[in-house]
Amino acid sequence: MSASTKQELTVTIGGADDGEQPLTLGGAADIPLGSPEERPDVAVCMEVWDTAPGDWPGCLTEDIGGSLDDPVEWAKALIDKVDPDAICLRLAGSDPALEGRSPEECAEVAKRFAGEIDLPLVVVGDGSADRETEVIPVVAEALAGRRCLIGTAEERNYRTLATAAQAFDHCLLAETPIDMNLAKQLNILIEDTGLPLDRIVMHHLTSGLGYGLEYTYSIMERSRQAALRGDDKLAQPMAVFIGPETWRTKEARASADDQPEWGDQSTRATLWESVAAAAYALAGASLLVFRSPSAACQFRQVWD
Amino acid sequence: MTGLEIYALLPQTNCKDCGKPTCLAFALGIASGQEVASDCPHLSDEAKDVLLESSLPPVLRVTAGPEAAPLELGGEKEIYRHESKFVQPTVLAVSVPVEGGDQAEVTSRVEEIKALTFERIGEEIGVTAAAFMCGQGATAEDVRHGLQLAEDAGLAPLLLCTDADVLAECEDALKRSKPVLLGVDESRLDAFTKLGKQTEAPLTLVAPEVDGLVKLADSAKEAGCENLLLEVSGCGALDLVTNLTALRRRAVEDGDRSAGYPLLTKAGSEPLDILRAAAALCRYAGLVIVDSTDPALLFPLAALVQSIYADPQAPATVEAGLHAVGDPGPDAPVLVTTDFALTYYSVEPEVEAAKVPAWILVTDSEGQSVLTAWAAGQFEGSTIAKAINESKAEERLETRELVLPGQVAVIQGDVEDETGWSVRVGPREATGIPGFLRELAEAKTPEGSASDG
Repeated sequence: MSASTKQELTVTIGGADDGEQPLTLGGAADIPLGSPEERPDVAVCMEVWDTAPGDWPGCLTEDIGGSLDDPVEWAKALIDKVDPDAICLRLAGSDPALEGRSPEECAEVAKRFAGEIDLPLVVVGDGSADRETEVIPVVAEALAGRRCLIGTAEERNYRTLATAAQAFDHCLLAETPIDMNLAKQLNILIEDTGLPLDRIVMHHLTSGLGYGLEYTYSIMERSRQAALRGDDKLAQPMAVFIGPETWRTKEARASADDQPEWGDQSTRATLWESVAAAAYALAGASLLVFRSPSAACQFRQVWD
Repeated sequence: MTGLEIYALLPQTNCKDCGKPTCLAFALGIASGQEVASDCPHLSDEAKDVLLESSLPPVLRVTAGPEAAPLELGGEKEIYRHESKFVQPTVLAVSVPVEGGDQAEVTSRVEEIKALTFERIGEEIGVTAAAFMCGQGATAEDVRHGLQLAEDAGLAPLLLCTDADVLAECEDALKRSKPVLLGVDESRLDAFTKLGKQTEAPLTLVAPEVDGLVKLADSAKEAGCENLLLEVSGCGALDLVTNLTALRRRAVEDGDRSAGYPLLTKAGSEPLDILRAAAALCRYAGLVIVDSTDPALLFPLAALVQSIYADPQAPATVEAGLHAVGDPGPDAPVLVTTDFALTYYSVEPEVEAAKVPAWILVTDSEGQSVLTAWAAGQFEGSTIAKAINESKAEERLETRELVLPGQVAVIQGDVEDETGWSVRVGPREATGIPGFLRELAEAKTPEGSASDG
């Protein structure tokens, strides 16, 4: 927590178990590729759901391959294809519209999953701040010892989630809507609960290509510059959930029959994800959560 | 330069011929970019040199193309777009192989390129240039044919031709079309600077790294050519971006004029080439040549240009009020959303796709999305009531029911209280709109309402 070092803080997740490689995010001393020495490692993380998603386009589920009914099989298929740095388990099943699982049932699912997957884990809820407030602390306890990145803390529920991260030795994903001041304020509030600043990863509520990237891109560049000026309240590494954002867009979801002038859906949608990922990596992201294994592999091939 | 430094160079007579009351006011205006030095008719030659030079942007403006449809490149001032914005959106070009003999193939390729436009957020984006890449068999006639095709198709011309005889033979066409001339490496510098001076077509200098490029630019300038582009050749994505970033930093931070020219990047025909080009485009590539006419490759790239060159401080907006989609009647459904262009243009195509005529009521929410505006208290009952009043919706429509975005279902009661309209909660995502509107329309038909009970 030294305010004198003018660079991005580092946050390490995973590595608690024997044999599991820890993943360190952040630590940049310049803008990405601002000099030949500044070649940031950008972590590739693949998203897995605890329940089969109903409405994903065929080209995406075929790309993933394997069964989406079982999160462990799903994760293993992705590990084979991508060799990711981390896996993001989304506990979508707590949503009453899907499985309506209780916090304890979610914890059970997460624990079984963590037992089978020895990669650093990102664990988030179904997107409802209220349900995440109930689910994530119970899951955090069940995963104690894994040093996961848990989330998503927002202004409304950060206290509960930060306390859980502190109690069970996890890192915390802190989300604010495309605003530097709100991001800084949330980091300060979280630090006040006792969780150190180097256990927080920022999420500036990123969006897909053509759906707000134009604003988030600059907020991320500005965050990085604040870190380089020595502001340790904005020096947290940044995560981008580019997979989920991409597959909400019409440009990824429309088939070539719907939009013949847009060309092949799989090619287009994969690029819609990987192009945005590359842009965000250049804006300063350290952790990219992909949904499509082909997009992740494309990004890796260009970035390595 | 500061206002006072500029003032020192002015005549200091307060003659008002520039339109400002005093020379000092004029100087301050120049310093802030509001005035241009050339508006003073009494500048000394020395002052002209200093002021006009210092008013040039770090990345010089370069023009190409025929007079009727000039291609503008450069003019950039920033390393970070949030400092103001990037000025000249990256031009996307697609290559056209010219092998000689078969002009029909060239013609059909140009036709394909012309069709590579896409409609997004109320703008037309896509490919606006064609790069003619001459092989060994290409003749002056082929070059003339290509340049004419580009002009007819409204595409800016780029030309790779290294055969001095061919170029000499079609000098008249080069003078007219002023294509961006590609592939000027060290070995071709002498021949091409001569051609550049004769035709005013810009030259693309090519070298594998920054220092070599800057040296080439120095030599070109010495030879009298200032209309230049720079291309870093033959490196992977990360080296490419590092080099482009170094060039822009050198131009902006160090004021190195020889690094301050528009940057060109070539991409191949595979998705990975597109990704490499995308990275280059985020970091300053002003002209990108792709070797494919596949819209699935070009659409994502065009959308990225649109994003990176949007003004990050001024959200694009649409006009507040009632927007008609598909000729709706006074009893058609009314969907409410904010004036943020990205929001509106995710809703509008979905309403269109539903094929149910409807109204979209747009609130004045200062260009924020629904969730952001709601969080800021700028999308609530009173905002929506104001939109209803100002659009005279109650005079124009019979409908008294609003469809609210599903993500802000929580304000349903407030909206009902403030507007006096009934409120139906719509889908959370715009993609749910077609299904929602069709169900709504079915429920309104007599059979539908009967089965609804």
